[in-house]
Amino acid sequence: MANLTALATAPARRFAAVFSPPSRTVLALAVICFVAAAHFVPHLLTASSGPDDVTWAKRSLEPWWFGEPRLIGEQWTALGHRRYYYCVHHPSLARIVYRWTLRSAGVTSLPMEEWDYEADSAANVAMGRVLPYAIRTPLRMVNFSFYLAAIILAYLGLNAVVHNRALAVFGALAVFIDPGAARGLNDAVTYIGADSALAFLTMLSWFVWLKSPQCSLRNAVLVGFVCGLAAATKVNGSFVLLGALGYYAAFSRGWNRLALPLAALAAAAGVFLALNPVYFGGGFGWAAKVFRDTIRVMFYLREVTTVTAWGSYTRFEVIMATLPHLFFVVPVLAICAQWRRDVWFRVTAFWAVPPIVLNLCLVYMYMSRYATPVRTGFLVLFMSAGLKAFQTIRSAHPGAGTRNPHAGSAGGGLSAAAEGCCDG
Amino acid sequence: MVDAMMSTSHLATAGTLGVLMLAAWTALGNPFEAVLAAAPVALLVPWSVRLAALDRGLVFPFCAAVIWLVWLSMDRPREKRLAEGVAFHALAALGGTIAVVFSPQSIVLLAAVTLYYAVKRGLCKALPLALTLVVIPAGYEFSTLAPSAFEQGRILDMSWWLDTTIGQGWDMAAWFQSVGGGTYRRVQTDMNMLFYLPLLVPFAAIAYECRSRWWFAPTFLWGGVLVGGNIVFAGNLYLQRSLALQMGLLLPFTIAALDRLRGEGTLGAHASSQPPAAARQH
Repeated sequence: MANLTALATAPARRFAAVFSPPSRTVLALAVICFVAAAHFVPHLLTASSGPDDVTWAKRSLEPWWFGEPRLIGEQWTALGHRRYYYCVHHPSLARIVYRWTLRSAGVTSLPMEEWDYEADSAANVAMGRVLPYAIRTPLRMVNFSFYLAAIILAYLGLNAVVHNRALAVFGALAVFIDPGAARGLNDAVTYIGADSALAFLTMLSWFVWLKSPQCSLRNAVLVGFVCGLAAATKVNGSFVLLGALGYYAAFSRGWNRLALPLAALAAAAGVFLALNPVYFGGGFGWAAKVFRDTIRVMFYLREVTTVTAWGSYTRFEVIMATLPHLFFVVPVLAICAQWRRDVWFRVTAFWAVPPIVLNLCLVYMYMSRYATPVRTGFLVLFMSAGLKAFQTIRSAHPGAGTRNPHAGSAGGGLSAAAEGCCDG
Repeated sequence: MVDAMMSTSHLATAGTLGVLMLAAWTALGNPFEAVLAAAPVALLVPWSVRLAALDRGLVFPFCAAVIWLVWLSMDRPREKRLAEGVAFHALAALGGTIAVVFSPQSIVLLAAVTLYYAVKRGLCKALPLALTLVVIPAGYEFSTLAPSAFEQGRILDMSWWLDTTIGQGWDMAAWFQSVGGGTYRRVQTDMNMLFYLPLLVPFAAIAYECRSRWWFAPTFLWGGVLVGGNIVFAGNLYLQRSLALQMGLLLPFTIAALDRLRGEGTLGAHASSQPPAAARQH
């Protein structure tokens, strides 16, 4: 009986252990909440309405389950066309959250028109195509909540790596808060869109993956599930899934090299389709059309944006504006190379590198919210390795600080999982 | 004429990179690693931009690179006796004066060199060096500028002296403001000014590991002066706007990283074993 009780409460105990000891966790979370609120909230409350705000609010108020008949486009009404466009413009998760927020606030429809991108800003404002303060503020606070949760997850993950709460707080804040960056309407927190939700879900995928690094069916399904949530938020959220597939293929044994990636893929696809019911009801041909249209809209938006002067960048400029940290590539490699055999580093590298590389290949202009997934991936990887190196030096020189019992072993508690990593 | 001036600008920068590689080679003892150390700085230089003037923002990095190279050469374990003798001091006075004539802010670096030897060898032994590296170049500069200052009635105006001498040429705003499109520059200025700040804490770890290397103090002191000068005199924290700032931030950490990658400065080795013979000499 005692064994059964222990078995039943094991997940709860593992969850509680993440926050142990409570007093220090409370202090660390208080610091994170205070710094994040002081940094983000004043800007969120005072920022004006951006061009995409009305579009996103209207998109969120339309039913995300797409109740129109699955017909060829010409036979739809104008409303049907618009609803279909909303569905293929972005996956649904952020819409669902925004819809819940707006309806909870009593907003069921918006009278103003969407932003006319061919007219200038003053004309749009004169036509009243701005999202009222009372509507945009709750949506931006939703963004802030996602972002704050992402910072907290970064803290918990870094703490699992370095076993030092002060360093983990520093690292988490350094990943998400850049004191030198000017705040605009296009950063991930201010922009009403899918970016802050994506930041949260990518961090959630890292944390879940980091805490369950062994190559087992349960872990593959779990990681696939969270990666599916990220993909259901924004298309480039699927890059994290690619890393997970590569990880399970690389570190499993035997048939698991194929079975575990397939399990993760199936879990992700299941979540994605459940949150995007527009894919159902018309057979495979319909689903293929929806997928094709989703990709087509992305390239259409790219073409529209790059014809304007503010969207014209060379590839080198895009890369250097998005990730200028590349100039420090040698010191970064030197710090990361030391931990290459540790499980936490493998997980973090597989989690971070695909989004960094693929986003840098696909992003066609600098925008703060476009840079967020790239910088988050890079900084989480670098901060994990760098703070671990910092921590190890402190432990190697007791005069420099209190010796940490976990730091003596390379990789701390997560290294112990290395032996089980390939056991399947 | 314009073409000639353009090539002078590029030549000065290429020369700076060449001297930086030589200095890195002196520190690391490997030419390939030296190229790797200077490569990020070379990538940051806007080679495509044509600048019709050879301003102090280009000359100072060259002088700074030469000073670093000489400093490292003086401080090499095998060359300890180099910084002694009348001939050396005569050459130091000549070189220091030339450096200060071309870029007065070199005096700050020369003062740092003197301070370093004053701490390391004692004040008395550093006095000849202070005379040759600081007093003579500064005296020459003062004597050339004093008549002009006197005529303007600003001989006692410290701000005039700072602006005219060491306050200039820390950044390369004119050159870097010509890079890329307006949006790109605005992004770099508005969004990426302090991107490197969080990296510095982990970088401090690799720097700390190398603290017993013979090149550590000259290299990081040199880098610190370049970074500090940018902050104090130019108010510039933007990496891409100043070759001096790039040199001061990139080179020391890259050299420390290369040393670590080579396996001589790994954490485990540092914690468990003695530093190599060359390092123990200090």
